Amino acid sequence: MEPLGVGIVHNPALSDLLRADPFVVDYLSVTPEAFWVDTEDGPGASRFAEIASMVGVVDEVARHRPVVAHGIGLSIASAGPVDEGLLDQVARWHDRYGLLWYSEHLSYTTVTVAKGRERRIGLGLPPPYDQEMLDLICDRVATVNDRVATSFALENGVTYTDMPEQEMTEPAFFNALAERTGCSVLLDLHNLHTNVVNGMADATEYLDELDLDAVVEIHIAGGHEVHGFHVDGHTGRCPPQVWQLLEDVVPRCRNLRGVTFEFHEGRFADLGETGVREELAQARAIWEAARCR
Amino acid sequence: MSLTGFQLAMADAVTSPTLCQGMSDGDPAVLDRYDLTERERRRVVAVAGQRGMTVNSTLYWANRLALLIRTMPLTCKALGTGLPAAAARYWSEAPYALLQFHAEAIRFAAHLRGPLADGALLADTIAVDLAVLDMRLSPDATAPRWRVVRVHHDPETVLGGGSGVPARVPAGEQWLLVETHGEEIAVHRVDAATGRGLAGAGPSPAGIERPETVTVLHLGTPTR
Repeated sequence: MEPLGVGIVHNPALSDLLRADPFVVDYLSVTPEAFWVDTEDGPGASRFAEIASMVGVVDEVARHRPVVAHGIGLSIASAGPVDEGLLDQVARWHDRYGLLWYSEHLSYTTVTVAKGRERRIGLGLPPPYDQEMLDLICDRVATVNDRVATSFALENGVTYTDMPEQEMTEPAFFNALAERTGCSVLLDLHNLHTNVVNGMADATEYLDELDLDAVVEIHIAGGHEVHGFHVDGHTGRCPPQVWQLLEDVVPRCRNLRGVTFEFHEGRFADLGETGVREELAQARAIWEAARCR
Repeated sequence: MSLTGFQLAMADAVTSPTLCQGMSDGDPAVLDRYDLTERERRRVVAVAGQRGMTVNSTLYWANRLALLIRTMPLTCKALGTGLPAAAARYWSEAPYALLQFHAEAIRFAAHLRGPLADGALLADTIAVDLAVLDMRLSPDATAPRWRVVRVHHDPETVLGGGSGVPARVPAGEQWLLVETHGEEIAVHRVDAATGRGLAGAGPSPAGIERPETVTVLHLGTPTR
């Protein structure tokens, strides 16, 4: 599949820039759940009330640039039922925008509090990397593949706690998942960096163990400190260590299609359009250098 | 399936410091609430006692607070230093967030309005915030980009411009026409007859005079 280049995850602070210059990126990543109100009621499309003013931006950019989806609502590692209505809505977006791939987070954000009652945590918690969880997620990935007719990728997450007695490492979990389901990997280098800083991972070991041929997209971002921990706050510019990881790993990912910059809209005042362009330019320089090798 | 019990326990550890401490202490009264295997029980106890749980909890509450501030900015500003306590009371009743910010804002608004006296100033501010949110989240691009809100206090105070000054309760009805222009929200004072007419699904405000613009708000589009 054709490599794309450098993209950005949409947030409302970018609307004016993307409207004025959609070619500032090679592709646009959108978080679909930010573009609709989920009434959690009613069948089919009627459940999701799309926010017209926001969807308009995607319509405009999609005329010039490919679009990929980076979801946050699937909660693929939940033990509860899969939200098939959400998948059908993503499938409708795929029909509309021709999503090149759909990605989600390898975490759970929804828990079952009683039979038939699910609740959102509002925070993605990492699953334990055990065979039971692998089997569960493989089944859920199969459901995604059945309902959304585009490639699917899962993103490595951040953990601020160390789960004991796990049966496999996170890279081994991803490798098994890719082998059994064909699921790709969205390698978030700032998440990896965050885990390294917090003593939860070793980047070299992680990247040596992960099957980098499964990586279809890389995320880069910045973070900040909370209670002595580095957190993945998407708080502006990427730290030097993330750029170093990107330089190291891009040449090794033979099926990589894009590098995506993400930042929280609240940081746009500090970053500005100039800062956004500079981060994209730096990512593009690394991308181009790797392709020239 | 014990995995559901394990995930619920971890979620409760994030949302409830009391439960988290109980889990960390290995308190059977807490742990026995959940259907856990022995390994899951050991995991819950181990993880709940780690310093990183503080980060999880902080991020959880920060995300919820940020959502409230983003969707109900005038209300949160009006609450001022009372916002943390008000949010904590709300969260004690609603420990799990609603994914959709619209629903979360409506639920928070209902919680705040509950103990308010009739005609309270905060109720006016809440009404304006909900009108703005409803308008901005309209799924229909052709729907009217305006709302009309009846308030009981001086509009400048309702909108936060008169902070520190006792809220006046003017004689007569007070009506505000709230309309969007791109990323701006313009709030105009209109007379009672106009306000009642617009509220009664009357004609659009296209030809209506706007003799007084109370304020122009610059609010980003709410997002999750």
